[in-house]
Amino acid sequence: MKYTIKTKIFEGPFDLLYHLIEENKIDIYDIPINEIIKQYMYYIYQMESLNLEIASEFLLMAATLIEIKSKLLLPSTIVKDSSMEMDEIDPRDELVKKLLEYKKYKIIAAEFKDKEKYYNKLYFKQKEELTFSLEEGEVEFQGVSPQDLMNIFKRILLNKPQDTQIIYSNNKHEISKESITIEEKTNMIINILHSQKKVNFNEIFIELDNKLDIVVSFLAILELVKIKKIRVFQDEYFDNIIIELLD
Amino acid sequence: MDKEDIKSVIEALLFAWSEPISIKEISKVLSIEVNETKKILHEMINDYNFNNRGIQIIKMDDYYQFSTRAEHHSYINKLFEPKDKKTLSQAALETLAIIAYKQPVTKIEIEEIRGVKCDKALASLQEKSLIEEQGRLEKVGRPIVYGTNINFLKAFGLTSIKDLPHISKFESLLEEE
Repeated sequence: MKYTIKTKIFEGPFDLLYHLIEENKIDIYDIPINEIIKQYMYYIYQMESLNLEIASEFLLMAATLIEIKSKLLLPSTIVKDSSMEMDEIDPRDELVKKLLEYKKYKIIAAEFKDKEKYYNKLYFKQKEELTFSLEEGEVEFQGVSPQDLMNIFKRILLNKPQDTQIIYSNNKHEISKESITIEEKTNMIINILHSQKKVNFNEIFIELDNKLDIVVSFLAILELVKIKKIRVFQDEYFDNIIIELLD
Repeated sequence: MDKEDIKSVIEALLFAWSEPISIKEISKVLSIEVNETKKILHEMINDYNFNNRGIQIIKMDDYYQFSTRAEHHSYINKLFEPKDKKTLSQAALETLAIIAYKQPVTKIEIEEIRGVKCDKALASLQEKSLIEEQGRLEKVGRPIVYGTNINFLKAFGLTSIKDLPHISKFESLLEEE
């Protein structure tokens, strides 16, 4: 038999054994144990000489093969009953069974590979955030368009006297360190609404004197509308915009 | 609602939800019996196939989802950036094969068959969400048992685990060799 060692890396001892069996066209039900051991060990030595790390499973298999060989060398201990003959247990049986089981799953894996390739060609959609318009009777911005809001906000910003702009310190363009959170403002707005259920849009901003305050308050109002805590409406065009607390 | 209306709604649900949706969920939304939903869905699957629609409905156990067809892949692909879809390694495929047929199965049992450790393969399969831990065996060490999930069905074109070709098919293949 020819020694054909390929540079293929074997996944495990079964992989290697099976390769040797196929390469040499061996009948798996009648494995020539000597030959197999010779080729198997040759591969192990190859791996060693290439400084490849040999997984312990390979060595375990080597030991198993040698054990099988030694069992085959021993005289068979058949106990012949007077009435019937007992079959010897072939020490190779266990190994053959394991090899066949392994081969079975190797075949299945090959089929899986084909299937995987084919079904990889399918496209699926991911779930997207779909927002829907509000149900009847729950209009958050009634009669108020985004343009309206923007206009009134612009007016508020511009109406503030010059000296209440963002604080610059010593001509260095530093924004004041005082930070205001949207949460603080939403709480403030809710408090105002608790004492008077409806409030004019402008009123929220009357007390405020710095730009950051104004911007954050505006964001707070939008946030509260989003989580449905308040509604913003305008009865007629150019009327005051009212903010109302929702239950 | 008559059947055609129901089909119409189901079509809308499959589109809007996009992800796999269960028969139970669909039945609840429509307020109809699960068995009726099942029948109608299977009719729809046939409708879509028979009429050669560009979209098909795939079934994974009790879940259903829209998908495109494999034969249209080359066209659709032109719209997208080429994406390297990583395929499973040989070790992962073998491990997956064992889990698919022997589930629920423990790591030790898998390693017995493969003859090597399968930690890396198991990790890879879990990462790709093809297998899942399905509890523990009530014996010494209480080892984890693994099984496949609906993503596995989807990736390999199976409608359910029963759809797997019977193991005897492979056993007879072995004998032929």
